Amino acid sequence: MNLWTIAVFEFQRYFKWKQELITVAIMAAFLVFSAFWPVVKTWLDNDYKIALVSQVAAPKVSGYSFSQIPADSVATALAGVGDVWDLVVQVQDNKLLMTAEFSASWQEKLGPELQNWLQKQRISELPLSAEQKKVVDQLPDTELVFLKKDSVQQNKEQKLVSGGLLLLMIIGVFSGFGFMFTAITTEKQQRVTEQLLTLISTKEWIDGKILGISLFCLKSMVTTGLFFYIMLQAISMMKGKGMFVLPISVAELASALIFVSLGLLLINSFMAGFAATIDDPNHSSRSIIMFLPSVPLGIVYSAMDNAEGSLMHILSLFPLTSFAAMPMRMATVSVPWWEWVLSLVLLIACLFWLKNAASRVFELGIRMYGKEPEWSLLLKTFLFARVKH
Amino acid sequence: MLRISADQIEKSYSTVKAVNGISFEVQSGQIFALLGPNGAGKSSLIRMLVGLTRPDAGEISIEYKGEKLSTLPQRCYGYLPEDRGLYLDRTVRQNLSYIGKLRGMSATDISEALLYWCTRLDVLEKMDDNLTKLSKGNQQKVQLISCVMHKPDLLILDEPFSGLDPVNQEHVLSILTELKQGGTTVILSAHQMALIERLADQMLLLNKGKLVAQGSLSEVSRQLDPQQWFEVSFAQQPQTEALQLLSAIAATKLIDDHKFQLTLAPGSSVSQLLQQLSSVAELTDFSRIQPSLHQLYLAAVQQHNQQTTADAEGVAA
Repeated sequence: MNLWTIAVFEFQRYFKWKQELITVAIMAAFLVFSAFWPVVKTWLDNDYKIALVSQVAAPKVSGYSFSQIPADSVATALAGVGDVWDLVVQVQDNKLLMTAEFSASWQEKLGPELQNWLQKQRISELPLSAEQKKVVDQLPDTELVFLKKDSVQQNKEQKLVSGGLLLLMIIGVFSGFGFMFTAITTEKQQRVTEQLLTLISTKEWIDGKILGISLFCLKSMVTTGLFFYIMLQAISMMKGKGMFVLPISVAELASALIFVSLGLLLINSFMAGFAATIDDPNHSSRSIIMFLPSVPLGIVYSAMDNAEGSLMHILSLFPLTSFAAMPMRMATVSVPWWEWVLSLVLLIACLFWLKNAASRVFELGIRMYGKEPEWSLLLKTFLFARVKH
Repeated sequence: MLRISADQIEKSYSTVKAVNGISFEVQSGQIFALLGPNGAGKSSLIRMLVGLTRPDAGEISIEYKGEKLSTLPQRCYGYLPEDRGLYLDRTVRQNLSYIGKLRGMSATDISEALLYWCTRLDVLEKMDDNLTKLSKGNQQKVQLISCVMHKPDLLILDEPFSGLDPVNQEHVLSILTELKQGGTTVILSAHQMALIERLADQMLLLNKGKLVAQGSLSEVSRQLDPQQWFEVSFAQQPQTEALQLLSAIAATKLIDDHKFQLTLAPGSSVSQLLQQLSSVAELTDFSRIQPSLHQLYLAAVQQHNQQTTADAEGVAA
């Protein structure tokens, strides 16, 4: 009963309705804006008017409107730069002379396009056979054949899902680090610890705190994930491609949620234990240990480009990295059921062990006043058993 | 029925011996005060009583409702830590409701307790304010409510008067007296000697982790001030030399021309003293000086510090 009371209290300490509503409002505004963007873009966009002094057909470049003018009208065209024309382009031997009223970013995009256009013209004027001209003009073709239908698009989207999952996990882990570290060290310094430990056991407190803060981290991940999903939809709609469908099934999503939740509990258990051993966060050498949980994420990140590789196989089974590696592997390749079960069992067992170890460290640290436990005592307590102090 | 006894308790932190061989007993319904300067060992002793730390040596035994226990049952007592033990970023209501729930109180009991205690301690209007917005005194009141809201049999209060103005100190004193009359046992530490004099049934004076005096106010006074001081006034100015010659007097102190303070010589009685004083000059007033606990406390701590320094020098030599 106390476990849930503590978890709800800890969750509510960080959950602010006002901020949540602001986030939802921003997301809604973004969605509305993106829905209307194509209309707005069409309405606001007007092509730059380019006067091209050439007898050869003008190039077609999106956002630019070319008008071919005769050579004897150059002076009139130049006089109209800024009013009639945005740019006057003259071809002088081997050079493109472009005259504009002032420097602007749109001119940079146009330069290479015109260079390419002129180059093609010059190649066509060379005394080469049609075959030779083709060889000079075109780069060799490449072709990648996929046996699975739509795999090009899926591969791209799967990478997006894997990258997104990792990003969300980084958000979850670092939120946990921040909340756990500041909450426990502040409570210890403000003697909230003393009051609470006369009401409840250290086990009840650490369990409730881990659950509450993990739930809040999960909420942060879901909110951010939802935000990015809406952004993706918005971008897709802005491009006129319609609704974007993530290449992940409900079962895969549920599986990812299980692994991520267990991972957050695992990491927050570790953090709660070690945060309790810190007496003064400004001067403690223990603070660096709190960054350790980000290591699994770094390792998985380095291996995620090869989801079918042996390293990713091992990482998705190893309990200290599986919470991050398994969902990412599942987002990319199909994982045998027995691997999924084995990974989950190992993760739960590891969570059980680590939570007990962290509880021992928490109890050791939380009852110390004005000092921190020595490294040897800390290690002994973490690895083996409760040490009398 | 509650009885707490501590036997030869010791506790050290690194090289500092915070509590050194302290023994005492607290009976049900008593107000038991722990007195001493900063670093005397009061908070260390209290932390051991509530089970936050364990003694290095000695034993704390508890008898509660006929059962012998090694630690206090969590819901039978309320504890007020030396510093604020509440969440500063939460409101008064959120803090107290949370503590009430952790103590197993029902939502109705919590509401009733909050209404009663917040009204009594004049913080009802601040119920929805974060603790950071409250003055130090009001924070202390909220802290006190968190200790008493579940009607505990025992209150353990570390510096309960800290941060309170004299009016609120009196208010808290009257509440503690009332709780005592209702059968609540109170163990507290404090610096406010004038309040403790009026409040405590038993007291324990500590200095640098060691016992200086122990017992009721009169017992502590006798232990700290074995010499009895009297104040006498004469109709005429007496010869000081004549007074010093009297065998019933150990020492004299001139207050003004007609008034003296003096102590009784060992083995002499008050009647002997009166008889001898009357022979010197006509007496107009004679009374015993009752030093305040504050004076006794300061003198005792000073004497104890001197003794400790002398002992240390003796060891060094």
